Amino acid sequence: MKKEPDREKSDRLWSAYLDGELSSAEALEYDSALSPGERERFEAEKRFESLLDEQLSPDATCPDELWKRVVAEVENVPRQERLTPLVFWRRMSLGAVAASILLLVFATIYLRNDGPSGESVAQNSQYGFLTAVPVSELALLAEVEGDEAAVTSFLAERGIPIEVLPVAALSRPNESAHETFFLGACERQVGEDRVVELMWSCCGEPVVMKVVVQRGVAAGRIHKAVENDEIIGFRRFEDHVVALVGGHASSDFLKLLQPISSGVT
Amino acid sequence: MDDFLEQIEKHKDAFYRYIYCMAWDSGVVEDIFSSAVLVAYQNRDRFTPGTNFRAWMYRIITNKTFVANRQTARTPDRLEDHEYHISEMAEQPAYDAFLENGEDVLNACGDEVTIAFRCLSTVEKSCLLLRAIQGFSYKETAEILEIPIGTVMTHLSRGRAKLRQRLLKYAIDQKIVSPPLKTLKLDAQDEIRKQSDTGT
Repeated sequence: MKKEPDREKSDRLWSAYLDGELSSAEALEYDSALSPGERERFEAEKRFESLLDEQLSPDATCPDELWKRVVAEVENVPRQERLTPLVFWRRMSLGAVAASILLLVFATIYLRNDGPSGESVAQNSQYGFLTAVPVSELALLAEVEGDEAAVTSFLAERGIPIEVLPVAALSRPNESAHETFFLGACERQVGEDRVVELMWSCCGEPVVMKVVVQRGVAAGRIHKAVENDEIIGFRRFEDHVVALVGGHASSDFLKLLQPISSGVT
Repeated sequence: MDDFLEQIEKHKDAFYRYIYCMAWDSGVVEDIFSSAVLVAYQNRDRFTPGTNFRAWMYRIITNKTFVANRQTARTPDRLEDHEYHISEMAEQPAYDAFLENGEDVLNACGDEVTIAFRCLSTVEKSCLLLRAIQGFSYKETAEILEIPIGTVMTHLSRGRAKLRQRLLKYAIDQKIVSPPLKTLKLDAQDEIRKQSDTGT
């Protein structure tokens, strides 16, 4: 079969063919493009895959004592109260009081926060790629997981000379109030541009930095989003632009990026 | 025991095995299992009868495992950050012998198979387990992990390539297979030689 220049696409097709996930027409086309040697290797790959799957299935079974304990625990959970109109409105009024108190507390904390004023909590932008997804999804997207050194190498391999510093480098005055994890990084295609995403979780909210090349279409969109106040912050490096998006309005996170060459402006 | 728990009981071993493979710390497998069942039970009204119960449970279990992994100080080793491609594997010496003698090679690799698997990223492991071992389709896997199908395909092929690369390296280092076409299993070696001679 003729080798495709895009190895990733070729690998995805191969995996889909192996898993029987191509449509019959696609599978026929893929199959007819295989040379006899390639078909033979493919059959060997298939056998190997099935052996590998067997090896990866542990013999472990759920211990009986664990299951009994879980059932006992679950059966002790009180059944949910049925919502009669009276209960519903009672809960609604209690909820409203609680919400007002929370709003007051958050407003006080926010006003006392020493971060830059006028920042918006930008969860959404008119540009889809500038929207942060929930933390649980971010973590699953990470190609390189929460290790700053590994992510710095990941960036370097993509020609991005930026070092990612540990969260401790933020040295925020009320650090104990924040539970911050570095989730890792991934890369994806947005139109013509490759976008590297650096992902953190702060207080359970997503914090994402989108790193794009300075002259690309994506960078133009970031500049537009900055003009429209749709993102939390941005920072320019020598050849790259970084946009900060997410549900946590702290532009401090941009301090976690350090240019490796002296190119920051 | 009510119907809902009976449904969970039917699949409890598969759920347990999935957590067992995904958890960074084996000491928390039971905790993740029990908290996932508890959360599922508390939210049982949110499950739509007639839809895929296993997929619904795996979504809860995956999230629980992710949270537990984040809370543990221990992080697993990672495979090197180099991107491996399945389409490049065939160019590597001894790869044909490695594939042809898959059973012997994997038996000789022993625990290295599990170690290599544990070094994959969380999402690569999830995709491989859900697709290859639990038998979910790409669409179902994408729904469970809440990621696009294309991303599932990428992680599956990357995970497979990384596993093969690490095991091939181990097999060569341990002289389980040797480049160019020399294996411990003599009859297979002869067979491969024959194929090589005929240029297939």
